[in-house]
Amino acid sequence: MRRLFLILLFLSAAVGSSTAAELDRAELIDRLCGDAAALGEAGRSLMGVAAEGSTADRAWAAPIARAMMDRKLTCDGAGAVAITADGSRDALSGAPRTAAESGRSPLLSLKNRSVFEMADAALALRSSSDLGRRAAALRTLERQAVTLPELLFESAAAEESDPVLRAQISAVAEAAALNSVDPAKRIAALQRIAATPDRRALAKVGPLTKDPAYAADPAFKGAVDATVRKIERGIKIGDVLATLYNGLSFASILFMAAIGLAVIFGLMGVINLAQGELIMIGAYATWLVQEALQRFAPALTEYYLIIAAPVAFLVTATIGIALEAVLLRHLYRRPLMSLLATWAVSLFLINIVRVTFGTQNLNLVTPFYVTGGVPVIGDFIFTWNRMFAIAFAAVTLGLTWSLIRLTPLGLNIRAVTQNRTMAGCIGIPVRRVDMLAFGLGSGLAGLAGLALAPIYSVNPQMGQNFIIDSFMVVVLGGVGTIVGTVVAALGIGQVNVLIEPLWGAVAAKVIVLLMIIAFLQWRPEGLFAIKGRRK
Amino acid sequence: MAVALLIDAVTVEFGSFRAIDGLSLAIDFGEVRAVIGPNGAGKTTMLDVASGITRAKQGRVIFDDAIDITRSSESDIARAGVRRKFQKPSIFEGLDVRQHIAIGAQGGLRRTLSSYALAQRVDDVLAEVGLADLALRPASELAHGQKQWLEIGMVLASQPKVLMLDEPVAGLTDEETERTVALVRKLRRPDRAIVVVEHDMDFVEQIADRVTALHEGRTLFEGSMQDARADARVVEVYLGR
Repeated sequence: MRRLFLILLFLSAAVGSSTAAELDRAELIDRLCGDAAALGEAGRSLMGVAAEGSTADRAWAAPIARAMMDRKLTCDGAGAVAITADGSRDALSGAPRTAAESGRSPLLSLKNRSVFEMADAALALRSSSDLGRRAAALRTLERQAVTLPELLFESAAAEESDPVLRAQISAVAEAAALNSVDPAKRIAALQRIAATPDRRALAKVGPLTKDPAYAADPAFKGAVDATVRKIERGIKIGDVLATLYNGLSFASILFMAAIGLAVIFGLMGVINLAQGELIMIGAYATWLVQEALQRFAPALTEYYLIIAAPVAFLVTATIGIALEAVLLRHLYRRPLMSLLATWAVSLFLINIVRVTFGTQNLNLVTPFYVTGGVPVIGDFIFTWNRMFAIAFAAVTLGLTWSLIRLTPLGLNIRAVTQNRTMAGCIGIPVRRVDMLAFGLGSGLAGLAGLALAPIYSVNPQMGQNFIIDSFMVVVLGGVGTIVGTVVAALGIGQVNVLIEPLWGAVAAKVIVLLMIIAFLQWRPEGLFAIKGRRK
Repeated sequence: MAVALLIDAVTVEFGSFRAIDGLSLAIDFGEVRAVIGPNGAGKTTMLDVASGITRAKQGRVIFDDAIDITRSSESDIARAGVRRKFQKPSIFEGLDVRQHIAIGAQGGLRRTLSSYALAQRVDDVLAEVGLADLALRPASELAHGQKQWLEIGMVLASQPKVLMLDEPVAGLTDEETERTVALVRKLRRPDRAIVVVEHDMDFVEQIADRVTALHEGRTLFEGSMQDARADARVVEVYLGR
């Protein structure tokens, strides 16, 4: 056993010899058992070991530093004995032995205690296998980060396996370098900070203008000023991009909610107040797919958003077709009646969902592909959930546009939209086209429900939030045009996002509504009106 | 000779107003029939009944000697082979000329023609109505006369057995009217009946085999145009002296 240990020791010594500073362990033990000055010296060499010592030296030194802190190191004539987690062992060789009766434990002075505390924490950060212990060590080190060797943080960050802790280590190192006594290091640190211009960086650099060195050293002042300018520019660009991005994602949500209505209102002239509930049912269908996957194919659960797309579409399309065939067909010539009837349907759907599923919010898993994001510049983070909404809306737009523009069904729908009588007289089955178009519009609402499910809370009332927004978009865009719906959604989305930070969300909504009312006074037919639609 | 379209004792009422009053009319295959009469005589209403837009209160409409289309829907009637052109040029503003002819040839959701046959048919019809050069223009950009021809082309594309034209030369120039005359004459075939409602008597004279004059929902006169000009009642209520 002992032989094996010795071989290991030799081996590690051989490896350790390749690093710059070779540790004389016996001398370190002597110093630990020496006077206060020697103790301080020993503490500093322990710190040196933590920063640039070999792996074996660090593993050897860590329990000794710990024992010093806990007063579990005893010096006697044969050297020193440390009581560690493995029991009582000789500090130098690691062989089990107990301290002689005459031994004494070195007492740390207040000044030395802080040196050892840092050395202990540094060694723990470098060599502990416990993440919590390493994090605690970093918090200890942070207090005196300026005085610690840079190399310590650099190598600790390089070897750290946990990404969060690694980022924290780098942050501490950066702050340390920024407040270092060496101006060159500070300027270098400033340049590193300027590479990621966000508000956190500004908070770090801002206080430096009050630093004594700022007034004294023109080079430092210049570096600080340049960094602040660069960070501020980055933040500005980031803010503009973030506003555009948020506006775009809000617009895609508006578009998703409105596109189904654009088809139904545009083609049939039916004011479908149950459209919001079709969105809600789409979201519930999505949830049911998630539940089914969890039960029968757990491996696919994360992909429920994609798998649910055809389900959500078909379920709501079926409901829409049934609604048209049973109810609305008889009310085409009575718009007020169809408005009331669809309102009744909306209440019916809300309550039937309430009775079946309950009123609570449904719990939808957030899949990995809609979590997190990529920081771009400033505080602008390219988040995947917003990107998902945008991409989903773009795909829906593409499919709907192709369907309307490129397929025979689309040609028939457009013909019926623009001239019903004529369409009937050239053999288009107007009734069936009505039904299919209604199904299409309802199915699109279902897809909207799917896109909203991971972003909004899913409950029986969720549809009511969207019905006003949808009508707003459709009416502003011009009834029955896809382009109009897209442009109106983009416009309302952007304006909303621009106003929101200035006066708040409620005021933004009010202002947008007033703007729409004013616009419709001037152009009642909306942005893009197609001529000759059914009156 | 087979009767293409038989309107048998049809009565249509709008509220208390009787637009057509027990009207009977038989149109044979191979003929061009003009229906004339003053405004409100029931000419367009008669076409509406035949194309399924308006329902008859009494009477029957029989197509091709056997098929009762009195209660059929517009699209069923159209697919059976009875097609009409409307009084106002009724086109789809958003579609181009080619799409109009294509949708006329094959409306609905079922494909009955191969894409090659469809393209062929569209080309033929475009050439026939003289719009081949404008095939890719949006229909909304066409001139009034061209819209009239486009609509005739749309109706024609399905190769209908009964072709009903409601005022095909209204608002056309003399030259355009000439072209329309030539077009209608070309469309005349032994297996096709053509019904034209028109106020332009010169046009009617040039195309019609027989003329039916309506007055207050009833048949006033039936015969050749020359006889119509000579008939005292027709002159009285419509043609004037």
